[in-house]
Parts: sequence; C-alpha cells; structure tokens
Amino acid sequence: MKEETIAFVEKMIEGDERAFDELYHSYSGKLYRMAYFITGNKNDSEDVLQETFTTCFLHRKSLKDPERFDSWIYQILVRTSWRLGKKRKRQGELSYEGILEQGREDGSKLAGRLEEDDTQPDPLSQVIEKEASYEIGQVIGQLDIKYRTVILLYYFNELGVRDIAEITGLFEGTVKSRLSRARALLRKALEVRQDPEALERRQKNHVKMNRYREVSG
Amino acid sequence: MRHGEEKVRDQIQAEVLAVHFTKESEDRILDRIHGQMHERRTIMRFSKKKTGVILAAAMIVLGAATAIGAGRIAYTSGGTNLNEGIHSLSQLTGEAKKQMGQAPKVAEAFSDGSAFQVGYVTQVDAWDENGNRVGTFPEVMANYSGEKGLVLSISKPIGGEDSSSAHYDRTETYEGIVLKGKADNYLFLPPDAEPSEADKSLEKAGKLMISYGSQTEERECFKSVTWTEDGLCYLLHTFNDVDLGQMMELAKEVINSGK
Repeated sequence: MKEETIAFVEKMIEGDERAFDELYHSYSGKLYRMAYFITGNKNDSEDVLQETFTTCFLHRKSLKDPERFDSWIYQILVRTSWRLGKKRKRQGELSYEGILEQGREDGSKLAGRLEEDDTQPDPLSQVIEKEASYEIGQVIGQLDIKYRTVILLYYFNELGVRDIAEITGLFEGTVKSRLSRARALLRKALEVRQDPEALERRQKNHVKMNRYREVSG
Repeated sequence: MRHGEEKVRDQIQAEVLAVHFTKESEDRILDRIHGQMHERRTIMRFSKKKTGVILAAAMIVLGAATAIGAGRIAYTSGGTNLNEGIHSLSQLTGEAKKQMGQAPKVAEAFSDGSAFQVGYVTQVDAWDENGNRVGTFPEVMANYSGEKGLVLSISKPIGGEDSSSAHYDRTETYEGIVLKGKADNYLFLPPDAEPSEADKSLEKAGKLMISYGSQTEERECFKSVTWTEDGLCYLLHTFNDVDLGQMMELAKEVINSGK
C-alpha cells in the first residue's frame, strides 16, 4: 500500500472529508468493478459502492490499522453485496443461484476429485484453451454469488485463503472448499458449453440471464 | 498447472477490468454518499444518549415540516456537541439573536413545572434529493426538565414558511397563529439492520418512519406541534407519553411567553 494512501486513510479516520474523497476517487473504479462482478448488474453495483463508502466513513474509527484499509473495505463491499443478494432473493427476483443447480451438483462431485498435482496438465486449463475469453465471464456470471466472490478475491485481487476468510467472515476450510467447488463448477460449465447436446439448454439459460440483466442493469 | 491458473487469473482480471465505470457515475455516486453520510451521521452522533436521538430526530422532522415546502429541499441534517450546551436562557436567546438576526421566544418554564434546562444553537444543513447541500440555516434548541421531556426547536429555514400540505392529526388557531399537531411513530435501527416485513408495510403506508444509525432497535412515538411566528418556525416536541391536546396547550404558553 502506498504511503500516500496510508496518509489519506489516517486523515480519513480523523474525519477529514477531503481525504475521504481522495480515497473514494482512488478506489471507486476498482470497487465498482468488483461489485459488478459479484452482483452482476449496474444498479446494484452502484448501490453497493454507495453503501460501502458511506459505511467506510461512518465506521472509520473501527479501522485500527490504516495499512489494513484494503482488506477492511473489501470486507464491507463483500458483505454489503451479499446482504443485497439476500434481499433480492427475498424479493423474489431472479437469482443466479439455482440456474446452474444441476451443474453445481455435478460440480460438487467433481470438486472432490480435484487434486493439486503440478505434474499433470490441469483439466481446467485444457478446457480454457478451447474457449474464447469473453465466454469465461458469461460462465462466471451464472455461478452462485458465493462462488463468484471467492473467485473474484482469489483471481482478481490475488488474495490468499487466509485473507479471503477474513474478508468474507468464513473459515479458511470453507474458503478452500468454495474455491475448489468454484473451479470445478467453472470447468463443468465450460465442458457443458462444448457439448452440442447441451447447446439448447445453455442458450435458454443465456436468454434468461440476458433478460434479467436487461431488466436489472 | 500453474499455466492454467495464470490463464484463469488473466481472463478473470480482463473480465473485471472490462466493466465500464464513467466519471459521471463516479461523481454522482460520491454526491449521494455525502448526502447519506451527513444524514446518518446526524443520528449516529447522538445515538449514545437518549436525548441525542430525540434531538437528531427533531432536526430531521423539523426539516420535513418546514423546508420541503420550498420544493428543492429534501431533508435537513445538523449536529450538536452535547458538551457545548448553554445553561442560561438569556445567553441562549442572545446567541440565537446573533445568528438568526432576531430573538426567538423561548419559554423559561411551563405550567406543568417543566423548566428550561439547557439550550444549543446549531447550524443545520439542507440537502436536495440528489444529496447536494443547498444551504445552511441556524437553529435553536431548548431542553426542559420534567417527566414530559419537552424540547423546543426554533429555526429560520432558508426555504421560507411551510407551504406543504402534510397531514396533521390536530390543528388549532390561537392568537391568529395556526398550531399543527402530529404524532409519528419512529423505528430507530442499527445501520446494518433490516426492518421486518410488517415494519416495511407500515412505512409504505406512511404509519412508521424508519431511521438508521442507532446502536439498538428503538421504537418511539414522536409528538410535535409546529407553528410559524415572525418568520421563525417553532417545533415543540417529545417522545414521552404526552397527548397532543396537552402539547397544544404547552405551545400556547410559548406564544404567550413573549408577551
């Protein structure tokens, strides 16, 4: 973390709104994109960003170590996103959860077979070689919010399991398990994409997702 | 293995970074954040003391009662340092005159025994619905001793006199001044709390006002009487068990106090 950023965090903790604005301008783009990855739509991402920074300022005294600002604000963002996700679910809006229900079940079985073996080609990488990069995003968009969050923090923020556990409030074992399952689900989803017989079902899912995004985004 | 991991990482990073976030959105959201920060900070600042919650709510209600009529002000917020109270009535009215340009009527005591205890002179911020601050106006608050827990707030709002057509539970004209009485149910919740479905329904029906920022869940009934005299807006209020008829009579005592 840059010294300049730490200095802004320290001033923000003291209640300096100009320092808060500086931090907002430095972090808002990244946090908005993270929120978008988790929630999947523009309106919710804006709400999450707004609530994250409002909470950040109002509860700034609870940040004891300015150098831990990144983890702290990620924590607020993730939990705000999850809370919004729950709210959406209660409101009966179409959720990502369940769209790949079958895939998740299969993925669960596959996850148990995933092994960390550096000597063998990774099945996931083999599949990915065959896919265009934009398709990865579409697949991820269909995963449950819990899996998308773990994928985001691990691959985008490049955080370790311990940090992800701290941010999400989960046990490290749970993070490992979700990461493993997320990778398995991703692989399964990509495999399904290459199966001609699954094409029609997949297209229906995409239409459903796109309509949801049009309405909510 | 590492190669595959790197592929996944690179593609996910590209996916996230491809999300477009405009400068216009960035600035608009920051404005909304500032509005929300000030609104919630007002309540949170007082949430450690019961009286504080009352004061904070009073300011918000006062804003709703006086400034919305001006059309462009959506809500008001302000803060008071509870350690900066003025314990002398003459000192309070003197300070109020300095900031408002005229001395407000502040009763020294009421017929039920409630007596002036401490007062504050504050600056209240007015915000439009987009979270932009549109102005600041002075406000005086006087707290009274006694079981009724009376608080008198007086302000000179920038929006002018109240022209809203809000519903009042009781109205009465006294000495040519219209007194408007209202009882509002408030639910104060911690910042992250989620109201129950029943409370949401009540809020939707206009029967409950939900505010966030307290440390614990609190339910209060806010009784108030408002009137305008000499360009100043008066609000006498309490969260205690006092009926609106009694509040109306006490308001008349404030009007008479200047005679």
